[in-house]
Amino acid sequence: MTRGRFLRVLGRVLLDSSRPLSSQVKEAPSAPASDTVKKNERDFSKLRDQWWIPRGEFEVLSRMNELRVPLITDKLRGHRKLEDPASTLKGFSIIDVGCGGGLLSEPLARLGANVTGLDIVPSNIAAAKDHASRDPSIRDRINYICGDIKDIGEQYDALVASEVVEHVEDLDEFIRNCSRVVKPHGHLFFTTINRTLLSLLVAKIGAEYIVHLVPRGLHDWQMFVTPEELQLKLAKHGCAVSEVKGMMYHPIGGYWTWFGMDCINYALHAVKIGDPCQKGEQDHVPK
Amino acid sequence: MRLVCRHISTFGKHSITNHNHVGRRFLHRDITVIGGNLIGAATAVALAASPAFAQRAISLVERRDIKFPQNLNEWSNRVYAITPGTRRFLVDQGIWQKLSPQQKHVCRRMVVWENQSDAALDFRGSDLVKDDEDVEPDTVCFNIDQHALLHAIYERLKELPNIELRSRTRITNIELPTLDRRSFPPEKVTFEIFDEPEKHTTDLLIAADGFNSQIRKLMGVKNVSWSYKQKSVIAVVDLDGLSDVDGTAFQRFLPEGVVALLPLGNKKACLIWSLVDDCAEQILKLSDEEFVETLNRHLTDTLDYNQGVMSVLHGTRLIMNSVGLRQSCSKVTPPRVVAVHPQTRASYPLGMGHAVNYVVPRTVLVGDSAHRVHPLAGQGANFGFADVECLVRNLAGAAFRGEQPGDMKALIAYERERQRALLPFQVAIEGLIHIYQNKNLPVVLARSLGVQILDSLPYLKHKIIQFASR
Repeated sequence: MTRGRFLRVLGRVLLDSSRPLSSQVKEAPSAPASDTVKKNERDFSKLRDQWWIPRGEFEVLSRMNELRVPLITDKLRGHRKLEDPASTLKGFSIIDVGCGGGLLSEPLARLGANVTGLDIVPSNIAAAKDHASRDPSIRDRINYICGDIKDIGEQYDALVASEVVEHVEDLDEFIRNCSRVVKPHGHLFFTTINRTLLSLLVAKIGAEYIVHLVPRGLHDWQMFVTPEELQLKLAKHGCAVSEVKGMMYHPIGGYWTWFGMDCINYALHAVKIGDPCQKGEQDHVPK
Repeated sequence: MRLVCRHISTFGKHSITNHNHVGRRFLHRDITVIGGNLIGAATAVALAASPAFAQRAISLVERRDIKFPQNLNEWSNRVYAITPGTRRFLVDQGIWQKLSPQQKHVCRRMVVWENQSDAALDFRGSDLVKDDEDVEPDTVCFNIDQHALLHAIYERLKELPNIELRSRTRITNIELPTLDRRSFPPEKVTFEIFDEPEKHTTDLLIAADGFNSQIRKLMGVKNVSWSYKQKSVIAVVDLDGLSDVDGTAFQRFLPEGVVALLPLGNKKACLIWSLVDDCAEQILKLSDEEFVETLNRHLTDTLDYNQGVMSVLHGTRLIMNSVGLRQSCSKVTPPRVVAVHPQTRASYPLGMGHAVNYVVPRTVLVGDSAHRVHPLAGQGANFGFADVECLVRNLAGAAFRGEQPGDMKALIAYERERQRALLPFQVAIEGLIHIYQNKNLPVVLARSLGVQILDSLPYLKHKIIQFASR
């Protein structure tokens, strides 16, 4: 890559991500939230056809199933021996928040779970519904809903929010709702990108602009979340983190592995231990 | 996935016809294996026995009738040298347990030499580190008759309820899915069975139909292949002479090919003699006595020894001895063949083949259909069983991750893993063939010196044998 191109890329990235910096952290959630929703809707509806295409824009995300599905099955099943794949997660109800085109919802349903896929972008839900309808073995176990997590009234055995928290405007409100829709002693799984210098270089500049693994402008580095922040927010809403694991993508082989450092991608598993409903209001007061 | 994109054009022509005729029945099997020989049958067994596919319908289709000779303890002229790595796979699949003790002969030592000098390599099983408790500690390989091994696989197959075995069945009109970007996931593979009205569909087609694979041709994958213009002459022979003749495999590189003897016990051995086509024809026509005489001449003669090379070897041997490096075998004492069993002489052509891709959507190649090798390393069957192990492991992993059956990611992982493991071997075998066909003095000298030095370095030898017996 030439030096000129590198500088152009860097400039674009910095311009791109310096914009919402001050607005998002402090201000009230109403106005910027709609901005983010609009941005997400705009970004994702462009990519509506891409979800299930091999070598499409979401290839890297679908490959992450090699790590996140075993993580979920291991935590939900404990160390019971695997027998029939179709009964691995039988009896578990799982909500997949930010399900996108259903890249994770479908495998979970195929393992026997009853999955609710939730996404705020209508075109994502349309793509997910269309794809699941072609597989008779799973279509009865997946229920896709287009909407916001705050409108969900039921409680589930487990919640999965994979590559979502970095797209969420009001993280505190989001985590509060995540905790709310999980049954006591239920499981919460998050995968996201850490906010470090390395993640700016690798996950933002590298993946979006240099090797084109991820659609350009999909991520905003300022909105990435560190494991510590996520852990604090979860603790505030009654969830205890049991494990944080780093993940690494190998662009040449095209696969993910667990990785000793959580400085770029990481997965986090938490268990809901308390019921934070009474404290909810009090905690919500801004500093 | 560059490969997948390339196949879009290749596939188009196989999937034009619309087959939804009125009243036509569709039969679905989750996985169909084509080819019921060793590798195909082992694939069906390994899949059906895996917990990931215990609830799946698996079909094994073979063109021929599957039948076995009366006495399976008698040795035929096709014998496989099964490495400890393959044995582990066969044990895991419950196939090994079906073999009686007299059907597997343990080979503890392997001697490799040539005809231009007396440099020799001597591998002993004791060089191998054992991770299995119940293998005799110094096994290089197990020699197992083809019929006995196939019979053991079919005995195991009968115990598995979810395999449907269809012998004497010819499949026609195979249609592989197009990889149209709009119709993802790819459609199922469909085919018909000769003389049957139903249409069959399957999620995953596994082709174990040999080096001349029809499925591979249909897949449109590029296949790099050439004939060695050699034939392998095989026979069962009686040996005489050495005391450890029952535990040692002999292999001699000659300019026209390689002559190898795999011990079978009771002073019997299986001969695998690769020869230039014309020589092979002549040798097959010889009478039994003449055949034995010719064979002995090729095993023992020292007429082609190059005196210059010999003296250099002798000199380096003295130097190496003085610094404490000792060869494990100073001089090869080849066995003497006393008789050839009647009606056991046969031949088959040799070639090399390498499919550039082993997989396309919903279709995968295993064994000889993906890679064909020269028998000099005795690895053809071992590579095939390793393919099966790798494929089933990847497919089962994908099933437990909730992937669709026939998922491309698992297939690509299989292809990557196997090609990475096999290509070095294929290159090494090619290299050996060319190095030993050469009669030029520098090449002869270099290879003889190399072999002599290698033989006195236990560490390297150990590494090589470990690599080859995985």
